[in-house]
Amino acid sequence: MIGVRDIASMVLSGSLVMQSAMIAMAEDPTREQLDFFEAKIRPVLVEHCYACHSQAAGSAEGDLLLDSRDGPRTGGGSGPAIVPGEPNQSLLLKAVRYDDETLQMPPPDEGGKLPEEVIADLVTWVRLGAPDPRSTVTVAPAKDWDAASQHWAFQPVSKPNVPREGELPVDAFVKEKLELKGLALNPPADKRTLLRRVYYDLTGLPPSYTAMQAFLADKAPDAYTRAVERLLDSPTYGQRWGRHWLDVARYADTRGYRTGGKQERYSFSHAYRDYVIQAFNDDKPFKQFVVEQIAADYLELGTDKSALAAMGFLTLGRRFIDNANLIIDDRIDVVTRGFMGLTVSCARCHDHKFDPIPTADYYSLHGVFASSEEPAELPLLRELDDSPAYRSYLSAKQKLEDDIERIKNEKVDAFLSKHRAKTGDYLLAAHDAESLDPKVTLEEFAGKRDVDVRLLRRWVDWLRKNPSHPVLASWRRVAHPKDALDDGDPSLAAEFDERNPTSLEAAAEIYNELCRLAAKQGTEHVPLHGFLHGDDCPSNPRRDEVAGWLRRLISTATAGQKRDIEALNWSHDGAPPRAPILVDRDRPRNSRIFKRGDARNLGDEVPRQFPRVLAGADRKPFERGSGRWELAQAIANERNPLTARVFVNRVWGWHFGEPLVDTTSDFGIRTPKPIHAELLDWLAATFMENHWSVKELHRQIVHSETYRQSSHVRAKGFAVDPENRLLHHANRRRLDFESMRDTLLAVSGTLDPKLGGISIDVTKHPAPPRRTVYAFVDRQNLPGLLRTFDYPNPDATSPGRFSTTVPQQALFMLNGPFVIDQARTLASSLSETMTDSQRVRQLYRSVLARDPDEAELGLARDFVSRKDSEQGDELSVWEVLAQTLLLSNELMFVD
Amino acid sequence: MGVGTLGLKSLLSDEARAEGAALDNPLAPKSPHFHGSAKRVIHIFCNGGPSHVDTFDPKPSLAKYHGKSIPVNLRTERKTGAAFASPFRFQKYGQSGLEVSELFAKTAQHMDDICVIRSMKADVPNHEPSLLLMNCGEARVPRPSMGSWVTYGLGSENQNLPGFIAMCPGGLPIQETQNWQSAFLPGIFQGSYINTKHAEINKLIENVRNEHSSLATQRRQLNLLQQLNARHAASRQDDPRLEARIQSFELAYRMQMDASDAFDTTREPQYVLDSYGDGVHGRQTLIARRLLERGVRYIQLWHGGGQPWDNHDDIEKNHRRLAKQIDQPIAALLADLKQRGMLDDTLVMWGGEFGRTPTVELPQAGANQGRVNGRDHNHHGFSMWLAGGGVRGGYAHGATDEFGFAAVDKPVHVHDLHATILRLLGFDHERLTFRYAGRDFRLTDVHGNVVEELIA
Repeated sequence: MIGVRDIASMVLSGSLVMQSAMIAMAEDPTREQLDFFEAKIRPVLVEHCYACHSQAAGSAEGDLLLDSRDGPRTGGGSGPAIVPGEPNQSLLLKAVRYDDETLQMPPPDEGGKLPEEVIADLVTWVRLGAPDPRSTVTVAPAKDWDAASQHWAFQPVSKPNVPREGELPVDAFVKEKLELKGLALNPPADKRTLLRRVYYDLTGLPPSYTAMQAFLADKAPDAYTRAVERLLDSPTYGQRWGRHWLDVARYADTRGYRTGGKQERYSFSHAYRDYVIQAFNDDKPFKQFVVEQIAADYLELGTDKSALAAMGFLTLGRRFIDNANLIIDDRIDVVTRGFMGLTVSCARCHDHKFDPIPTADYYSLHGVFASSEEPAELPLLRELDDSPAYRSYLSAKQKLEDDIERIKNEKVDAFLSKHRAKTGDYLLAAHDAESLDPKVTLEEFAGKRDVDVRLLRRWVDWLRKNPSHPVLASWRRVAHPKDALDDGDPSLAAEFDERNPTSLEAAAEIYNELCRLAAKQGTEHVPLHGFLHGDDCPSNPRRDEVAGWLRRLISTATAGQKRDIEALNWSHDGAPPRAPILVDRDRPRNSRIFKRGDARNLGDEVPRQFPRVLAGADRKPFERGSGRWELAQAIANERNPLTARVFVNRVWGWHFGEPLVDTTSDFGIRTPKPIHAELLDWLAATFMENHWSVKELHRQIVHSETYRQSSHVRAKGFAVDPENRLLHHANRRRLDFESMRDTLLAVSGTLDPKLGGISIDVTKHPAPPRRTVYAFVDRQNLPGLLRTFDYPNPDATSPGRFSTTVPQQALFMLNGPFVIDQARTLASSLSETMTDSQRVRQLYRSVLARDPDEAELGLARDFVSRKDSEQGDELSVWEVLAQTLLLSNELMFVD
Repeated sequence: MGVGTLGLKSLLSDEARAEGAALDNPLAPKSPHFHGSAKRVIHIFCNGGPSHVDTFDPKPSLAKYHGKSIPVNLRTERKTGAAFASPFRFQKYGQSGLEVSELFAKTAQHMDDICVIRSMKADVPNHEPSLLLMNCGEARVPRPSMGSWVTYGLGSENQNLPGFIAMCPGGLPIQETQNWQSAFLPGIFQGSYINTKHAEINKLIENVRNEHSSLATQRRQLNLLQQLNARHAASRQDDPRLEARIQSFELAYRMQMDASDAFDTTREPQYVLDSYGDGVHGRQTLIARRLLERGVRYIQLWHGGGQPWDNHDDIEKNHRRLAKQIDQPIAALLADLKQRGMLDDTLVMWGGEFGRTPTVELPQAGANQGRVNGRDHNHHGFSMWLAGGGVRGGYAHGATDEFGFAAVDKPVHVHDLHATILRLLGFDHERLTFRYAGRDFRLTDVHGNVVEELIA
């Protein structure tokens, strides 16, 4: 039920009111009952109650709404208005009967008491169980949905006609817009520029000198086509385009901050990363890619379970110190913004300010993820083999588990023996506790006496119940001398005889001493031992109970072992790979709205279902399990107006450096229709026609003249369209972090192109020469290196990378040991027998895939001619020259 | 991509003043919305939660009720019991006569420049969310820290140093680098962390030390590089990004010298070194002054790794020890800034993520040592102070109740403090925004009211 304040604020702000709580009816009313309601009850409610108690009137006096089935049942500030079947407990009847002066409805000054026969009908209705066919759905004001439905991005994707013939479709759309402004495409880029561009674009790597020479020499008309196909077939393609997707998936290898020294690293994040790379390499239809990332657990998989790893998309976000609602929020956000450019998370606390997304729709998705959980044991990605490595892993794991059990036992033992040795202190404290100042709590008192309050409680109880226990005989000699006992523990008695204590403190000390002795010597010497270890002894609680008390202590003491058990998953080569999945809970359930985002302030339950703006007014709640499967199907769907558009726009942006729609993750109302809306739709429609093939989409783009034109900026184009929205030139781009680092490895010849595996630390020196997509990403403490080079914030889906230029980047290039290593490797390939010119030429070929011209040769020869090294020079002039080429703008920018 | 560049460019009037401030340089100095009295900020963060009733908020009633229960006992993280009188002596200082405990006797010499807020309040009694609230204005989900927002809004006056620096001796506070995160703002606005226990410049600015070439050789290398880059640029019109990258190498070259210099406290005269005192806190505070002097925009000085001020036990012993480590450095900093004419436009801020209970914490296994002589966390009311940068000195704002449990008079929520600090820096906190994920985010989210009384 929407509270009165919510209604007021929504009405005031003119925002959407959409309330939907289709709670299934517990019992189906009979036809007769419904007829009775329609004939006798509904008219009364409408006529006499709705003015003050209905959403339509925007009024809920006393927080009570009567315009739905649930309204009177839930009631208002005074509790439920009716209790079905119980007329005497129903406030509504009390009110209409005018039984209570303070509760008279309708109020005397607003129509007054209802006729007796109407009251009798209401009583009958309640007695019948208040049959009521109404639902709580309140339809939003139609004009708001109409306005929303006008938004360009919410229109179904239809394939526009290509505006002219004889052109590739992409070019036809682009040229049409250019010509309207009197502009034209640039001439094609030269072959060298083009090959370098398409290499970086499709693989994130530069062409080698040899590849460049072969391409320049290839005069066949399909030379470029073949080059493109080779690149699309290369596994390096997936390493590049998979990385783009990992930005969207806010990929990282850690959970973020955790308390108590718990393991922050995810065990199987790399499985997701490898899945993504493989999906791009396999040209997995994007539709299937979407479904697998949301609901691979629903698929009938054969022996190849690799698709399960796709669900890392959901599970590898930040964990917010295990706050379930924030984890769900993260999942809703990555799904809705990542796939659909819909900022659903904005509706967590209030209806979306701009888009037609009511809070109810957010909690509909909340229910989907609240009904999903991570299984206690993640599924294996391949079948277990009984290999020696696996057995070694099992034994390493068992050893750690044994350690945990041992530590737990030690802590319990230590606690028990420490407190058994203070039996006298407990006797004394329990004795004194009987006369405790009532203002002082037992906790406080126990603290002052340095005894454990839980044991003390047991002692107090025990003393009350067993005042004459033999072990107390000696104690009573001092505590209750007039009422002493005869039979007692002889060892205590002997000690008391000898020392004859006169104070309780002294008596307590004797108990303490004998308990310590008992601990040392065992039962045959000190009979007290038997008492201390007996079930009856208040200082000997059950071990599991003690372990419960010591939970925090034990948890801290075993945190290291628990961390290590998880760490085996990536450090031990016998650890079986698993998939970081979600599964449905046994009992899926709907979520209730958190009013103003506050989990303690619950509103109505809402069904698990797709947002209305996309599903339409006749949407149906999800029926299968959590609803994740249906959610996935609704996203990966030709009829979803956003999924294909959003993805195609991202792909365009990754190709050109600028997307067609600036806000790649927000296609909401505030995002204006882009200049190239028809092109976007044509690409989206064609993408879907081509079975969501990403590689086919690449072909549509990279073969176009638009893509292949030069990056030269002409004055006229700049004057008319300085931001190049119309695409009158190609965009020059600086290498991003991964391309930069991969390039340095590639040109020095050390790049290891291997696919897959455990993440590597790219910040350590020397770092494995693997591609940067395999970098370990700690989202909690993102390394400075990554931040410096504009690596996206891995806490939320990234709409695109920044491109900043700061001196810290230059410092990495100038002084970073990684760059120095590459320079050294390059220089070491220069042979002694070469002339200086040959050496310079070789460096140019390795680094820039071309020969130097005469002027460049001259500059380089000049540079290396200074052989006298300065104090502090560790590098040879050739190493410094090699490094200089690595720093050059020519290497770091792509025309 | 579009989002990023648009976000940066659409920020404020982009007046690039410093040399080398090219289009792409997000740290180029920028003008705020209006004239701000503060140009830079230093935030002394007593992480763990210093007790206000033992420092800047005297409560004589606690002595009267010591050991007895008091009418107010609000829910905090753990159970607390009777009133617990401050073991520290308070006295009045300066013309203003503000009372401060002996713990900060040296800092108190500057009370007439200090504006104490005695009615601070936060949302919950737990460290993690409260640290994030104090630093980022949001307790749970990643949002940019205040230092990131300020650096985003103002850029930095020194291109050779990071604009936002977080110093902490001996490790990280809890919540780690999230305390100075940039979240969805570009990574360059994140605080650069240095462990001042080592004070190695190379750890603050990665790769700032050139260990492979002499400066002379590096200069020759850069000359060659610039020649090659000039030839490359010649056929590519005026592309500002090419030029920006060229300039970034010159900046980096100079940074190698300037940055090291900033951290080299041995260049200070002996009397200055003496005034800050020995020890890591003296050194880090002095480094901070050298950095502020060089135009660094925002500095955080954390007390230490973990949560040193979190004295659930032995508060007398521990608070005395901790205060002793920073009282003299803070006093020296205030005097030093004043003497250099920098206090007028440098905002100094002191506080924790919350305060502590006026009642004694009760023993609880695993939670404390059961000594019954410490205080629990308290977000209901606590103290912070501001000095310099245009704040109203010698003024105590608001009040907690008779015992110091909750802010009752003129409560100042953390969001209000943020709004006020942004005002002092020249920003309308509702207009310093960044478009992200479909909405315009700001430090104060949908909250925050400027507390005019704090401003001189």
